[in-house]
Amino acid sequence: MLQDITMGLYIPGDSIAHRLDPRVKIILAVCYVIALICASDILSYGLAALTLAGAVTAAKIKPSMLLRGMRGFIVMIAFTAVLCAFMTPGASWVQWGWLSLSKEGIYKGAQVLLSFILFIAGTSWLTFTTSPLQLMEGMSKLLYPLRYIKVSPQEVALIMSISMRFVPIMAEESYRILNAQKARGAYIDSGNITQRVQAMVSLLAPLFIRAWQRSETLSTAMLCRCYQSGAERTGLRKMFMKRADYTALALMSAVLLIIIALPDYY
Amino acid sequence: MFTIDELVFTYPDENVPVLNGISLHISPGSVVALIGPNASGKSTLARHLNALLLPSSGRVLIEGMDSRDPQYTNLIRQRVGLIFQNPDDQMIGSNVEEEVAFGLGNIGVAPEEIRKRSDEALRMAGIYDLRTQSAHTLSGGEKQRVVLAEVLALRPQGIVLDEATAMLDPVIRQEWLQVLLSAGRKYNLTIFMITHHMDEALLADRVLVLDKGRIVLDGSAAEIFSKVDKLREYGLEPPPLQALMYTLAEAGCPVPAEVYGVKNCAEIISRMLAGE
Repeated sequence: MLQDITMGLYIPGDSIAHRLDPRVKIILAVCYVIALICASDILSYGLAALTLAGAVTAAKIKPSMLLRGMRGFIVMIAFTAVLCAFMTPGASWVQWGWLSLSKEGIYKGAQVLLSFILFIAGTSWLTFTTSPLQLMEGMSKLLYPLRYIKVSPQEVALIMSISMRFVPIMAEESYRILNAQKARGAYIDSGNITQRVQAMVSLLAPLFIRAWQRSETLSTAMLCRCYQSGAERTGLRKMFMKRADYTALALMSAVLLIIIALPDYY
Repeated sequence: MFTIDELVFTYPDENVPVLNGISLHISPGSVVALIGPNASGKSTLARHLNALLLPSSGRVLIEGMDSRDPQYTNLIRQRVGLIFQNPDDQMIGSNVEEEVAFGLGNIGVAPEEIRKRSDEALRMAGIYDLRTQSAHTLSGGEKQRVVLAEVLALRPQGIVLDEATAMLDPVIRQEWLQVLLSAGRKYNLTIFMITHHMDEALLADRVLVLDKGRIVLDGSAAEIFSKVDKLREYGLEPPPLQALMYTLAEAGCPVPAEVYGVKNCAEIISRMLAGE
């Protein structure tokens, strides 16, 4: 399951979405997340899903890639949605012993489920179409005002883009460690719940050590490639806005405004 | 290229120096191999050659620039590229051409010039056709070529390899070394390679043996590998051909201690068999 995590993965391509300015893609993703937070009814979610479908088509990404990325989070999403469904107060609709499920609960659970799915798919779209270095360059331009409060935008951007890049790498690493432990008889897929939890705990120590080693070597390699904290960088491509960038921003703004305004019509 | 003068280095919170009075001069354009047992201080020495580590005492001059002078740090790192063992741990970009451009972006090269220098380095490393590929889809050998291209794009004067071929299979290792050596000849690069593969050390003009933080042997590959007893004393095993010559000599056969490659070895044995 861990190897299915595709969040943070970049898929090289030459689609319209790939060619968009990275700053625009970050703004689109932020607007999309705000839209999801504001969404409160089926129409809003439908519109967000439609926007996502359009973005995925423009990126020429196979929907199966998005679904594969979802598999790694499915247990967590389902658990959160079920928890929400049972914890939301409301008039009891179904009763199992002390557990009570209300219509409001079901509605809230479905909302959480949809929000998570659309959120993961949307953020995956951003990383699928934007390489970590482009993300870093885009973010450092957008975060430029941070300089006025003595925070280096490049460092913040670098931390964020490396974190994103490390998600699939660490997922792959966990998968490798899990397999090594299974080969030595650890109960990962079998055994009772206590044995499984113990096996998962024993995964964390080597994973943490490996992450530490990787980050240390990476920082040394970056120093060797003349990286200087806070220094101005240049990139392979000059960033400039094209017609497609303005169109994408206009469309996303419209979607966001509609989603914010929709509840007022009910 | 490198002048090391009485270099002593002790890691913080440790009492025993890892490098203990090393003095060396390495000429521009030479290929030098550094061999030695584990924990002899090889990687620590390599890190002094591009100012990643600074001497506790003594000094390291890189093209005349003192590594302890902070004004030269970035220039030293442009002039001397360092390549580590695992390419996956050294890559920040997801895509090959972006990875190669990373170092150039850090020194503020203009986008057009980045493109020109990256393309040149990618061609030199033989991976120009892979430039748009995602780094994680490449094989280990291809990834290490990407790292080499990234270093070459900075147009260095020297390259330091810290067991850079340790994770490559024998055929890919040879190919990678050939790419490196031909780049070295083309750009007159000084190559300083740390290795556990004795056949790699045979490619060098000069071989250094490091033991307990001191240079204990220094000479041509033929000279160093003829000292089989000494090498074994330091926990090192000579390449198979040299070990064969040594065993024949021990058995009383009239063979020279120094041997230069398979062809030379075959000639010596055939002359011996012919009774010459």
